[in-house]
Amino acid sequence: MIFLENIHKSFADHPVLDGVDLRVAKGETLVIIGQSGGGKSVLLKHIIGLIKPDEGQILIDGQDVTNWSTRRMVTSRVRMAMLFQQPALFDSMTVAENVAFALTQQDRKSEEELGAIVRKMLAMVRLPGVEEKMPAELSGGQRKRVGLARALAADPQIMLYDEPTTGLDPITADSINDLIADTKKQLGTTGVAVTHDMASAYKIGDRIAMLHGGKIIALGTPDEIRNSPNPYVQQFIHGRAEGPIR
Amino acid sequence: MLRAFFIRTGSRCLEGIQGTGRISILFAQTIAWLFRRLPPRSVLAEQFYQIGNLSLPVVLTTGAFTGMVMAAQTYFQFRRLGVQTMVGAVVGVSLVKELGPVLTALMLAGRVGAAMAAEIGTMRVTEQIDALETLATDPVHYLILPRFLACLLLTPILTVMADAIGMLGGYLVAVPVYHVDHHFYIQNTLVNVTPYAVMTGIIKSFVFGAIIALVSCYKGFYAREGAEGVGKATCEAVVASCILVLVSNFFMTLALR
Repeated sequence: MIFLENIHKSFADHPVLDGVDLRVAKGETLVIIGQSGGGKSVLLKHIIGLIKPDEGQILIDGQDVTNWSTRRMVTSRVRMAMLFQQPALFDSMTVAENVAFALTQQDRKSEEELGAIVRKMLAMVRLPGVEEKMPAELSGGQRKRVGLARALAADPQIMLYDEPTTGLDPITADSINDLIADTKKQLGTTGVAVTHDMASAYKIGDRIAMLHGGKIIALGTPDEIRNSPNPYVQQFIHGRAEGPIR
Repeated sequence: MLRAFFIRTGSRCLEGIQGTGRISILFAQTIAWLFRRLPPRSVLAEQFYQIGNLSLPVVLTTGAFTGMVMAAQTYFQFRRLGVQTMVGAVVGVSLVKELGPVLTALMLAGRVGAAMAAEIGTMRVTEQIDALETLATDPVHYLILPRFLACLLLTPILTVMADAIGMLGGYLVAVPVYHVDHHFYIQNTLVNVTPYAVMTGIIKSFVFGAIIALVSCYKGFYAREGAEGVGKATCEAVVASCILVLVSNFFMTLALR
């Protein structure tokens, strides 16, 4: 469904992606792991069109979308949505206004219809009754859930997750992992997640890819990654300071 | 050392050219949206309230005290020459052609420009602008156009209000306090404050409003990472807006004489 071919990207002459090739099949969740600052979020933003590659091609369902704008990408036949790391809720709007935002911009739905969709989305992320709260009143985990509800309200076929569990305690992080897995089961979405949280990667990923030095150096199922003979992979997944990765 | 100087100078020139290009593109996109589709009414109303209603106290205060000081200083000088009845004319013309538009714009640059740069800059560094794009919303249409429209339309209105209260303040200082003849004060004001003089000031304030909105939104839109980046963008927005207001005022004064 998603095909990234020979993606190169540099910032101020510093190469971040140096020939990345990746395929994501329809219905699968691919997790990209790697060091902080390694280009995982940059790669994710290429898929949704927020960043354009210096070289290479991006194909979605066989269509070349390399130079498509983000707006075209998210409103095309294959709809995409993204959960940001922060998670970028609009501070001046209530939770309900945040969740309904995409719908209010695109379609002319009545207040009742919007309210029903908001309640359904918040129930899906197990956060009922917070419609009138402001983002500043929510905890980190709650903000992540609202961010997920906002992304899902657009009924996407492809979901992108940027460090979905970063900054959360282990219990809250695992609840987010469960939500991501449930979303895939209920809605059949294709997913690409970037994380350095291995527990999250093993739980939500059908396959895991490791990005290092601007390239994909390992790709496989969670078991294949656990048993990978690649010393870089082993150092990363076990969280060791000593090893080939400096 | 010479090489480092040339590298630094060249780098700054390139940054300047890049900045000019970016702001021109932002301006073109804003104007394109203006003719394509207006922002949602609620978003526009909020900006009109923030820029218009909430700026009124500071603009009126500025106008009032500027008129009063102008009247006092002009009276002190004109009394020596025996032409104190011309105080109203000088206060009126100075206000409507120069002081009203420029000081109103400088106040708005500090109040509104800083707020716009800070808000949009914070949205940039917290990925809210990226989130807008992923929710099929053009950030120029949603964030910049409402602010541009509000500044463009409200700066002249606020300027006229500042002019009016400034002339009133000038009258209250000149006539009851310094005993300038009421009849001659009013007559000289009406003769010299011509419709063309008023129009000059209004044209200037349209331009100033556009400058404040565009520069402040641009600085926020391209703010660098973190609190430092947002702070720098806010400061640069105010300074750049003020300088451009003063420079453009000079050229418009020559062109509209």
